[in-house]
Amino acid sequence: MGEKVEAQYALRYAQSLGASYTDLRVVRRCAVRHELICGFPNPTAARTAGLGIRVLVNGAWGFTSLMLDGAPGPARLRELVKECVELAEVSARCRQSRTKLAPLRGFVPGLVDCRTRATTPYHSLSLKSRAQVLADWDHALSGKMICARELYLETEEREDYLAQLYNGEFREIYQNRAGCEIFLSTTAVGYGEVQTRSRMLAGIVGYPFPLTEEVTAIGRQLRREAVALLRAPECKEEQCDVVLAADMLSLQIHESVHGMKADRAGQLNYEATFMGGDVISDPRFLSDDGSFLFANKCVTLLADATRPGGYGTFSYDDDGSPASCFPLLAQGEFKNFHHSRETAGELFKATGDHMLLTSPAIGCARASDHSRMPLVRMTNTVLVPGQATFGQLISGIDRGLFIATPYAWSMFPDRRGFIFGCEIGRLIRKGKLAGLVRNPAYRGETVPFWRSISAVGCETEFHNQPDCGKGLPAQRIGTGHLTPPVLAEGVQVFSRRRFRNPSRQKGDKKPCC
Amino acid sequence: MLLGREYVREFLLRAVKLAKHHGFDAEATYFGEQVSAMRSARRGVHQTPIGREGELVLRMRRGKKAVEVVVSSPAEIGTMVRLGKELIASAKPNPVLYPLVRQPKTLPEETLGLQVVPKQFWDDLSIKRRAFQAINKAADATPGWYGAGYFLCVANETGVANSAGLIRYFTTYYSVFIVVATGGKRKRTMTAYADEYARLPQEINFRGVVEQAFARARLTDELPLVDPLHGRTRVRMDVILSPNFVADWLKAEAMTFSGYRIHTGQSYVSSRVQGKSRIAGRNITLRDDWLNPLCLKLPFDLDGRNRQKVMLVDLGIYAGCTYGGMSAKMAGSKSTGHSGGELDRDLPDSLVLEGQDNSSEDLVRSCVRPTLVLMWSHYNADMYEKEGMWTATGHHGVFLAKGGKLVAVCPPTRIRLRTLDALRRVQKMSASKPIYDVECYPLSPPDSAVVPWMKIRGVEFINL
Repeated sequence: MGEKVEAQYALRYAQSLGASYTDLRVVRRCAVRHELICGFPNPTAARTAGLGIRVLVNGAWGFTSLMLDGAPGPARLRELVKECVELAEVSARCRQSRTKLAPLRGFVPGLVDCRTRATTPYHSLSLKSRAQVLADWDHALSGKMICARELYLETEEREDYLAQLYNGEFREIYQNRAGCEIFLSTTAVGYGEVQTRSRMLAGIVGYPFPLTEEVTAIGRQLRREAVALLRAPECKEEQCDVVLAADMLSLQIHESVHGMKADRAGQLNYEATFMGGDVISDPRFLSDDGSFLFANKCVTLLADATRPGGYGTFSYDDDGSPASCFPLLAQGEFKNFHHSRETAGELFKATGDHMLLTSPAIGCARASDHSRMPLVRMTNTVLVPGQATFGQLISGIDRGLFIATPYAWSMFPDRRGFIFGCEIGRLIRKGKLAGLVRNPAYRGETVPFWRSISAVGCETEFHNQPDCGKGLPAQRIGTGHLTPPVLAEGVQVFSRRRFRNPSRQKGDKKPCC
Repeated sequence: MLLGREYVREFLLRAVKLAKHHGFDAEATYFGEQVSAMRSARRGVHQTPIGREGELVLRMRRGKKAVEVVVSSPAEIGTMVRLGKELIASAKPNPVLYPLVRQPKTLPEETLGLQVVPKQFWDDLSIKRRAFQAINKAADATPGWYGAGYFLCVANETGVANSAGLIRYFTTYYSVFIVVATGGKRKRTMTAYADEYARLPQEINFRGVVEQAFARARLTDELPLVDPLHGRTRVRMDVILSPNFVADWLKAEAMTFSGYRIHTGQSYVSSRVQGKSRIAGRNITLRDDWLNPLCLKLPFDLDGRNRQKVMLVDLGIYAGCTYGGMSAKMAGSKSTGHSGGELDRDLPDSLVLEGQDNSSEDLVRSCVRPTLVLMWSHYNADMYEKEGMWTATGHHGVFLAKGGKLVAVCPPTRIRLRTLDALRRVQKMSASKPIYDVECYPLSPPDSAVVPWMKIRGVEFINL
């Protein structure tokens, strides 16, 4: 997929300049995307490549990158390494102690090749067929009262090359993946309302991609729902039992799990200037024995980078640690943060806990592309399914709400609370689904919400999120969520449109206009 | 380093020439960036990355059909043009394609000298080192607090060319320094914030920013802690929003003024564009004006058209919206030079809200009844686009002002406002200051907002 970079030469050169650890990554991408906005086509093909070098000098990181225009020669590589070392040296002068890295698990020098030739079913569609199926899907999304449709079909192949110099020994890792994204969105306007319904079907090899005709049926369903929502009653503000659809729960999990990354832990607080810390540090929720009961006992949450089909699936992370599966929550109790070698080492320094250095949770360092440093990122998050069918989940609810598909969301600092707006809601009355409600939203405190989950469904769906943002400068990366629907009790629901006109307060002057 | 004017021009022309050789009309855009950051937390600096990205997008046209190919390297153009040929064979016609833009007679990027990044911009490392050492020093002098910093320097270059003879290039650059102090004497961990935005890193008074953040930290220790929502699910209060808070809000709401969204009925001004509809108070004048001295200078859009100054709201009355070539054709209007390369990316990106002659202290002094002062917006979201229902949490310093002074510090507090309503209730503003993009996702086009501190009457705050 391109010319070979003289990685060992660059890494040995960095070592000669004082680097105690160094790695080099090359990321190459090919993608073909067919997009239709309101029926207007925009087919795109892309091929990009870039290189990033990271060094640890005097206990501080330096990182630099460039776009690849052929393989860089030795002079260019030396230049980059020097720049990188200089950055690390300046950083080291602004640190009170040296960065400690946890040992690299299972390191064997040499070549590791994890590449496969497997692709998704949509990769084999001809360009002509892709344009045709997109037109069919667009037709399914179109109709009376529909004012805007946006949809695309994208197939991507990505190859990652990682070269590392660890304790003086050289290793190269090749891995690749083929993915596909299908996005459908339709917006209806009428009766003073705007209603959007959308669906993302995305994954890599192993994801259960629907057939094109199934996508067409999904498109028709979305159109019908968008139009029906225009005249549906507004979601009422009340406290009730709520069944979250798998797509909605995947967002709930995603946003909660953001607070389970070790770089946000209080002792490190790497996100202090931006998104803040983690709810796990909140002493209100600690029990007497020091354990943290994050959720109800029916909730077991795994971080699983080995699960086929997920955007968080890989063979090795960007630290070179092998992919792993470990519990985040076991029967509701918090077990592990996501770790990189750096966060495990730094937290070991802060806490003296030797277990951290060999934790299976190390292996979550990922960078969105060549131009960004690896950060601790979530992989695939799996909510272990329970026993209840969907019918059983709603059967015991006298008055409740079934809500689906994220519309907009906002988290409270340290992930202590949330507001989620959803695209569609359906009333549950006497154990059965009733009519639609529009603009549903719900809010709550993260930990009490997870403790209020009383049943977990048995029918799981994979929801991959292609653009999870984190860090400064920011990075977008794919993450996966394998979730069944759940039942949460006593949730505060309301309309995301709701707005009470402010009552005039005593002493108010007339508004300036 | 960026590729530079000559390299980018050559890259663009090569792409256009090759497409032409294969019988296509062509438009090419190049966008490159260098992001150079330093970030620290409790244990000192933990990241010092330099991110370099660049992409050439070649749109190959034949009649009403068009396809795009994207490359990062000139060596790939040939292969991709051949792929483009295959793609176009199966492409459907795109009726909103506009005629290729011709080279304008005036090129503001040349007359205003917007084609280089000053040498001193690249000399940022020693400034960053001193800035982060200043944070550590201030933290040492403030018991119970530590400081975290983020110093960002971004330079971009944009070039466009097409087979009608257009060839243009400009650069832009900016720097941001943010300090958050964390800690305090209370059981609850508190934070305090300060920032500064400038074009060159040398223009940032980093000692001033550090001092301001830690002064606010000390103030946080001195003032009593009051929760304005104590025991209530919602409360309505006056609010003072910092410029970066106002920028986050207005940038999120800027899509309201996208010609595409207005034309398709998704914007909350869609039903208000006819006649002179009041959508804000008389003191609100909002425009998109890249020529404002504090804005980043963006002389043309990705179609290659000169960017126009667009009045969006004039003394509270809806005045206009922004169009790119495609959305203008779709709406039967004229482009205002705001194309982001796609039909639905025709957003205002140089927002200027006219401020007033007050200082932020004047705004606090004017608070007779309890007013919350929000320094930084955390995780904002537009919950209902059709009415501009926007929410975020005030973080890194929420103060309560009363009787003309700050009287208490508050925990993070969630604000919820309906944009149309809130813009009618703005009581006072300070002079406007520039805010640039802090997050800086890879290959995100530059934008800026020039906005004031703003005091708004009767805004809703809710629990979490």
